[in-house]
Amino acid sequence: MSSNVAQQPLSPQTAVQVPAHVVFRPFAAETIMLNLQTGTYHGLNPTAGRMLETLERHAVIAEAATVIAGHYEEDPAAVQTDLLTLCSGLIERGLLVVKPDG
Amino acid sequence: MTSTRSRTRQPDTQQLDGARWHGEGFGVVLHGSYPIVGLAQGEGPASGDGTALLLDRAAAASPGGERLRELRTSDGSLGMAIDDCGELGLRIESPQAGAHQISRDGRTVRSSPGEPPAWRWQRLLVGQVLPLVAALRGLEVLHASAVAHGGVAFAFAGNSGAGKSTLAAHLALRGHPMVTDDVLAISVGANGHPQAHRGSTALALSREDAELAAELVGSGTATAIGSDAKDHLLLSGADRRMQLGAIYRVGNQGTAEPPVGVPRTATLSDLMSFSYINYIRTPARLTAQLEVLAAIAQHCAIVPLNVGAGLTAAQLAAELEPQMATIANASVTGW
Repeated sequence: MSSNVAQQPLSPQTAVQVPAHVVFRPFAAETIMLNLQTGTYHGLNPTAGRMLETLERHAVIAEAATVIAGHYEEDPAAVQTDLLTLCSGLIERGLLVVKPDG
Repeated sequence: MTSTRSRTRQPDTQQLDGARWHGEGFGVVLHGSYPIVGLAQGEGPASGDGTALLLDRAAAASPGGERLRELRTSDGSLGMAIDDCGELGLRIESPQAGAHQISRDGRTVRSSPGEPPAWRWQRLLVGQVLPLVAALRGLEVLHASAVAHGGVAFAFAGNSGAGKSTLAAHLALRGHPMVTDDVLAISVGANGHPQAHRGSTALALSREDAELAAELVGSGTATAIGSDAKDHLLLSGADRRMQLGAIYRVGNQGTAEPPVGVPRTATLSDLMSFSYINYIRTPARLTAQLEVLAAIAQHCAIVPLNVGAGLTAAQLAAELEPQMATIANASVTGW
């Protein structure tokens, strides 16, 4: 959670995952993440929702950025920066964790 | 048993105890010792994976617990209470309609019924107990009435008194079978689409709708089953399970807004505001709820329905039909 960020700064090679106490589902115009420990809902816009789905399949941030950049024909470096920002925010809120071996 | 009250009550209970019954309501197979007014009766042998409905006088005694919800009547007396009784499960009680003890997995309901006739005390059963059972068994339950059109269900969600039942009754009068009154259970089908389950087709109409009640009975659409402050009718029901086409949000937006609004995608806040069981927040319940609400948001539109636009409920029902037909056709053809 927040201590996770403080102790281990994110890098492109960091692998992340959605922890067991968080579930997420795509809605029509948003993706909703639910923290089952707190009962709190968090909304992601469509772009962030697609990033999260990609991170589920490609846990390493740099790999996910490459996939997203290729799919949407975006600049990989810019996508990676956005992904790092998103991951930091989600980790801070307890919605994402760094993989133990990541 | 010497009092008049006991003598009146005893035959009803004996009759209930003697009959084996199974049926289905709110997406749950039910089997027990008494029939439930308004639910679909089972065909063939009962399935093993159901919820057992048992009569148990011991359920009348409260074991105590944490009060989750209570409703008070206008004179301040208790109308209904829902308690969490720990290992014993959840308990729903109404002074008039009896007490029901529901196991935490929703597989057993022990009931000490209220005063006969059955349609009266069973209003608590179908209005609160069985919706809770459905939620405990992984379905989502919305505060909505629903009718079927073209094999697709259309929900009418809104606060109490918004006009959900009246609108559904007018649509029933126009030939659309009733899916449920007031409480709608939804699951996610194998194709990922939300599935509406038949609930209770017993309908309570206020005296303001006496003419409508008479029309429903006169046309053979409904059977009168009793009356108190309201007229209680039993309508013929739709199929037990069908795809959900759309949710109409029933409200009063005044004469400046059109009677039927523009369909739009549903947000989490929309759908959470329709949720009927919000006093159970276990991880399993919240996960199942999110699953169903996401399926609704992805496949069903929300349509504002304005009862304050100047149309009568009958006119509003007629106004809705073309849109319902379009949505039903699109749903069936996989739009």
